[in-house]
Amino acid sequence: MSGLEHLLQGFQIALDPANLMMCLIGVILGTMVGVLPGLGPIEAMAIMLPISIRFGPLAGLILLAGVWYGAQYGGSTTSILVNIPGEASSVITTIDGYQMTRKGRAGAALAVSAIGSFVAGTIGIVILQLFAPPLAAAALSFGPPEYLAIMLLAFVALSTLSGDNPLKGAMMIAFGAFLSTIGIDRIAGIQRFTMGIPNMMYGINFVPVAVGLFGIAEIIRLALNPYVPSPMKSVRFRELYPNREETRRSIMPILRGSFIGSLFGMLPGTPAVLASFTSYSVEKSISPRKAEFGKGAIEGVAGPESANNSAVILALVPLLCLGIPFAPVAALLLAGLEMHNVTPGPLFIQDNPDIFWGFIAAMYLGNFLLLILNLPLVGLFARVATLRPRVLIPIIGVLCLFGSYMTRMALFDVWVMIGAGIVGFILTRFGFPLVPLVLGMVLGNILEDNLRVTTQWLNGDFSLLLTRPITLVILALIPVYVFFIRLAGKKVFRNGIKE
Amino acid sequence: MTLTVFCFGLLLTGVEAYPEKPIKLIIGYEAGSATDLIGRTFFKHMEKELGQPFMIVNKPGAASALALRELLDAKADGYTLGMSCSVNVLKIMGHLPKTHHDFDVIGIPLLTGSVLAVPSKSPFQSTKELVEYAKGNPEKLRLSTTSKGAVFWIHARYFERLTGAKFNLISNPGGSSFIATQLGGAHADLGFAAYRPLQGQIKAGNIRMLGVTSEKRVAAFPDLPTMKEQGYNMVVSGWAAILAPKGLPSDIYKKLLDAHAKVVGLKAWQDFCTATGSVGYPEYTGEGAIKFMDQDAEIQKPILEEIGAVKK
Repeated sequence: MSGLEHLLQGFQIALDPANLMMCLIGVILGTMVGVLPGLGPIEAMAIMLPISIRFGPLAGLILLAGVWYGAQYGGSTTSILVNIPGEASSVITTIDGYQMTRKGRAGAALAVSAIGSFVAGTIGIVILQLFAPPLAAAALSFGPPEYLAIMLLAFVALSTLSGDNPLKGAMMIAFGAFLSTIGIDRIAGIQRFTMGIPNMMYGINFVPVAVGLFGIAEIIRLALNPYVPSPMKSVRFRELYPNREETRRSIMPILRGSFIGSLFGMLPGTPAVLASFTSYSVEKSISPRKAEFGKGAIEGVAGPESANNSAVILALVPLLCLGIPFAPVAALLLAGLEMHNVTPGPLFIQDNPDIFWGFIAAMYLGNFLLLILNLPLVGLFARVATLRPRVLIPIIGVLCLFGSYMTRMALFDVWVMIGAGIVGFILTRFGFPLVPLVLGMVLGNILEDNLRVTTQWLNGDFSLLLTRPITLVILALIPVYVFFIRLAGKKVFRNGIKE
Repeated sequence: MTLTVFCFGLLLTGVEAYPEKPIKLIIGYEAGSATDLIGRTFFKHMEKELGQPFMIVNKPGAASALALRELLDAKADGYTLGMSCSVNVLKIMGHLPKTHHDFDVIGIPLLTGSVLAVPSKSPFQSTKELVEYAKGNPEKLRLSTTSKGAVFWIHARYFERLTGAKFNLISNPGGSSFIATQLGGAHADLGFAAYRPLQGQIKAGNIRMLGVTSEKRVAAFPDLPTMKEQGYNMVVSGWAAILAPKGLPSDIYKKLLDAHAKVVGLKAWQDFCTATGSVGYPEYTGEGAIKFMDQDAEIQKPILEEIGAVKK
């Protein structure tokens, strides 16, 4: 059991007061940037990087990584309370999280999200600790066609998110994908749909659109409806937390979410976003209570909020074991290590056991600290849900303005956000679902990137695909997945009749 | 008389005092990108030199043209600076009607040559062998590099022009992680990129370097011959320039130039350059940097024209 021995040594290193302090600062900062919409972990980590360098490679890594996974804890807070996603990976949580708040279950949603994050984070670390080197080797053996095949599989898995009206859902996905093409194209450098406006060259940013679609649309809705006193007012402390039924229904989604997140964490790009969307889609497809989704199903909070946490942990695998940062945030961690002449790569664990195991242990501690930090906050935050609209509307408004401006300090994004809010309100009125639109924006870019890299790679010779067994297996999984989901859906239907 | 002395004194302190408040630095790229990291590290040293903190603002978009637009609107008082890696070609690309001559150039803190890299199992042991094979088998070898029109893509294209070889050029989006994965897993036959993103895979023995496009050998890998040494007159580099709005008061401009040259010469900065496989020359301050960007634009222009990126 040399693994355990290493881990115990790691704890010894991580419990060193200086390292523990870094861990605490990191996760507190992370929770803060997570709660604030618009301010993401990347910005916070870039600011912390020059400061972290002073404390040596391990302490710096602990601090920066703490900000990263800490942000995944806080990200759900505003999604659940005021319908504004705090991070891109918490967009999907707005659907059922916010509905739970309207039903007076904000506390339960926040608590489940914190507990799910803790469980998933811990599972993610266990997987990282045990399987990092072989997982990294697998990531390297995947070339452009394999990544494209995985993205196609994800796309099919996510298509169930198109809502009750598949046609309207498909239209929204297409509209979102169109929005993602605006700007200077990421591969050929050509301007697309910019109409000569300099700010459009950067493209339509995902954050202001999501903030506007959900946040501003919510303000309009609140303002239009007469005030109904919230049922939260007389809630006792114990009732803030999930009841037995809610706990029971959350266990499996949390475990499934952790697993989905671990799978997606290894993908290039925005693993946490893809993981949370996929987890929601899976939960909705296999749930016997399909009708409850969109109306405050706790599974729709538990799954995605777990998935994004294990995804960010597993996103460390390509960084630590290949030395290749798949996600932009990982590039910052890499820079922090390089400043100390520590180069991650296949030999990293062997050459730097102190750093690797100290880091692993610090992440266990960090996740635990986050749970202790976040659970008491639930009671405090849940009170927001009891506010009257005339108090709540300005708060949401300021958060929306702040969130859309902060991403890149451009007034243009504020206009995009307000525009998205108005469009979102109109679309909802006509029964168009908004989530597929956001999904189209996220997937559009990823699919396009992978498709275009792969076609360049093939250089016109599609028979080359036949020489890639992994690609063929993944492509074959697509019909298998569809069949499985159909079957699961039918079983539910039959059970429903029996009851 | 007293008044004159007083005014003169005020003037003098005004000069002496710069900078007396924090300086804003607009970086034209995302937080956490390669240029952002260079800027944040360099300005940590500049802070010590000038005695005032820098406030860093990221304004990504349009190959830094958005950031430079804001810089052009700023007062030329030395309290707003900017960073760009392509200011010398933005005009011919139609992103910005200005060039580096429309700014007061402070300097170029570091230059990063492209490395020509191959997977370790590749049969090619030298650039010459690779070029010979590629000439006989046009578009057969997969060359993985950054997006079309971006600096390493331009270097790859320049390599084709100089050698007469033809490759299947794969442009990848975003940073260089795609290139590192494709080379490390031997999904591509060669690549043009910065040393830094490949470093992990190079040290792990999955990627091998055949040459570097810098003028002289690079301290991070002194055994690697330059392209010039191997008989290809290919001297190009990626770089990042620090700019100020045109018309800085001459004493402030001088103070910034002196600080720049001094910081580039610092051991701490030279160490940073070595760790990232780059080089920093104190003489690329002010005029030296302008001359470099003029030459670099001449190399880039015909390649950008060829892909239709040049706006007439």
